[in-house]
Amino acid sequence: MKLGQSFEELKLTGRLPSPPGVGMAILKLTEADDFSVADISHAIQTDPALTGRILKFTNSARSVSVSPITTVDEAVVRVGVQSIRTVVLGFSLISAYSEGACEAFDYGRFWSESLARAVGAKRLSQSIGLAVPAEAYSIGLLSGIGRLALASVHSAEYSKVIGRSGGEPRMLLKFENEAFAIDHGQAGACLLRDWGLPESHCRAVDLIERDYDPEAEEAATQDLVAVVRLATRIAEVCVAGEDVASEIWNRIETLRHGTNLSPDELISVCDQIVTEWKDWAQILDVQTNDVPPFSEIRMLATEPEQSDSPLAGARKDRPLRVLAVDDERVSLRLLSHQLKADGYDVTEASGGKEALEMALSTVPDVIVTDWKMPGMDGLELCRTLRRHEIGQSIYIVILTGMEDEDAVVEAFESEIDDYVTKPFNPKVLRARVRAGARVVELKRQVAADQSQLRENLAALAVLNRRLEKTSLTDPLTQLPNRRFAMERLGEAWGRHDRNGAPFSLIMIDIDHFKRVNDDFGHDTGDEVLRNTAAVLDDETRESEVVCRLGGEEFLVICDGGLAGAEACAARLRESIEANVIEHGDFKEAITISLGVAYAESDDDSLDDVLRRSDEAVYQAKRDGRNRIVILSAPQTA
Amino acid sequence: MSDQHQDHESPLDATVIASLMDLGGEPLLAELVDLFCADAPSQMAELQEAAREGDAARIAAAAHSLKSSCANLGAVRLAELSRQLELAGRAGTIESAADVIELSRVELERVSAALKEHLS
Repeated sequence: MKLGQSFEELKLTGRLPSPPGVGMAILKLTEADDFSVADISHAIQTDPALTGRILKFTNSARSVSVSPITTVDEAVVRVGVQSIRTVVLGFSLISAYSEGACEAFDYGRFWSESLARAVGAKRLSQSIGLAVPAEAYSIGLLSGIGRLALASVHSAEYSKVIGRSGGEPRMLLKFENEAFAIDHGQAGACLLRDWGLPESHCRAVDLIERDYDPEAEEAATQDLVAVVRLATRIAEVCVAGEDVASEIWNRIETLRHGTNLSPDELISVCDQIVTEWKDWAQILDVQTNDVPPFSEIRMLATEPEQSDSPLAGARKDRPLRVLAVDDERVSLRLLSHQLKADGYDVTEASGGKEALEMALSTVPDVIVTDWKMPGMDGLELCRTLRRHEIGQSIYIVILTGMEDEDAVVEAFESEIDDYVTKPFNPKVLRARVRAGARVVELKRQVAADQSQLRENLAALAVLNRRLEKTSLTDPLTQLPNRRFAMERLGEAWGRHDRNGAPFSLIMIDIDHFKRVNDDFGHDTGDEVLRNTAAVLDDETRESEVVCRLGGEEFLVICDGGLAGAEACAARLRESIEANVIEHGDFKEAITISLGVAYAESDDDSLDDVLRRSDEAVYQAKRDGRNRIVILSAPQTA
Repeated sequence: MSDQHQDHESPLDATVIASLMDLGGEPLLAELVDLFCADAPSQMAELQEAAREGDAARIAAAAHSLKSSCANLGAVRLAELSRQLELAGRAGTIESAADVIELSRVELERVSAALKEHLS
């Protein structure tokens, strides 16, 4: 495991980011298996500011806010320990790592972007219906943590890597790998794994900037990647200047095709993200900048002179960068004068070594170098560059004396692209460099096309995930449907059968629903179903899943035994009874009958449990409705 | 190439000078001449030193540098002499190198004078 080693090496430096204060306390606490929700919420409450932030986070991540959550205990059970824990880690890191030693790493901007990504991922999760909003927020917040890790451990070297990549995410991954044998995606995933985050979340962090095989990944991972990827682009727009923003917009536009959002809806989601981002930034003391309305960014991006491939467009107006190399000053001066006259952006190096250093740090498009130079000669420069990933894309022209023309074969073996004989004829030099420029431009075009292709694939992945999700979602209430329930039940039964893991079922039927339909019409009936579904969803916890089985019938699948299910059933019955639904002439609270059953050791199959919960509902109806009946298996003698 | 008549002709190829003037006018030419006059004497000294020590490789390297700079300025005869020196150095046949270097030294003086004349 080479990668594991690389991460262990990072760890050994003792400079990896680690959360201070409550973050660390929670990390330690959750290392043990037997921590309780009370332990966690107690730790959070030692910090009043954090308490407020966690409540805000929880309320904003819930899809239906019937009644806001006001206690940390409640917050922890509603959105789940994992998400709360991750967000606490993230919040603690923000204050501890607001500055650092890596010069090229903009810490303020890093957190600003991370926060925009967190808010964006949550919003998108809510609008597209992929992934769990709280998880999307927490992963969005920490998905860039690998970059912070590399900046903390290798501050000086990482500055160079950042400079070289020019801010292009994929180039950054490449150069990180060259320099550290680990990139920020991998480092981030390792770090989060180290902190005990679920594997599907760690995988997602690893894959966000990468092409990957969806077949090989869990559904939860794919959903997170899809949502956070789109959020990453939107966050980039938020922190970017207006000129770059409109370029990135094209990529967002591509990714949008996988979602169910219309262009206008996406724009409105983005504007909401900016508002919420600024709100959060103020609370967490993170910098933000002004972002124009996204409708303006879109207009800039779709102006006709814009090239259809965003990457090429980005660099189109910038002149080609040429590095001129010669140890002999008259020739060098003449060469660089000639190249400048032809409109290139020229830098000079007076020897092979100097050229190599400059080439690796500034990555010119073209190098025109003399062959014979003391120290490192032109060929050696070329060979050395070709061994580096960066050097492979540079177009290299070598200058050679007439009498060396026979030796040019050797030069091509060193992977030069072209040669010009000295003293050069300006017209020939111009023609050769221009040919090189065309090659460089074509390569850029190919890279841009590839990146466009990748965005298309990413959009397709989102679409696929969404379709799959749709096939498991009830369109009227947006709750998971019967098919989902049966899959979920199958898994729960499997775990029960293998290792006795407990689970319980609450079968729910709306009382006198037919009367609502008959007296008030089907529109009202639909509204009652939607509203009831929302209350049920809102009142259940992370370990309890509500599904609509069909008609007026719902099922709650609870991880855990009877006690939890009983409490849940009681909560649901009361909330529904107290929830007045208004629609047209209809203005009343409905009631529900609930049947509770749990998997018992005598059960032979899932059907036994389902049958008991069905029977329990019938009994509740017979007993007068608006009540809960619990049925255990008949005692075998 | 050791033609006596050349002594009376200009040591510079007028077309090269003209093309330099085309490219960058007086300022570029002046800059290149300055660089040449600053560097050529030390390249010459390096050649002489290398010849005294009988170091063929060093002769080749120094001659190569001198050749490039004078070729750029149209000092064709000096470039040709340097080329012969470079080839001899590379082949290791440097018996007559000292003589050629002496010819080059004289030629360099003519070239420098001619270049300065061009500028005034």
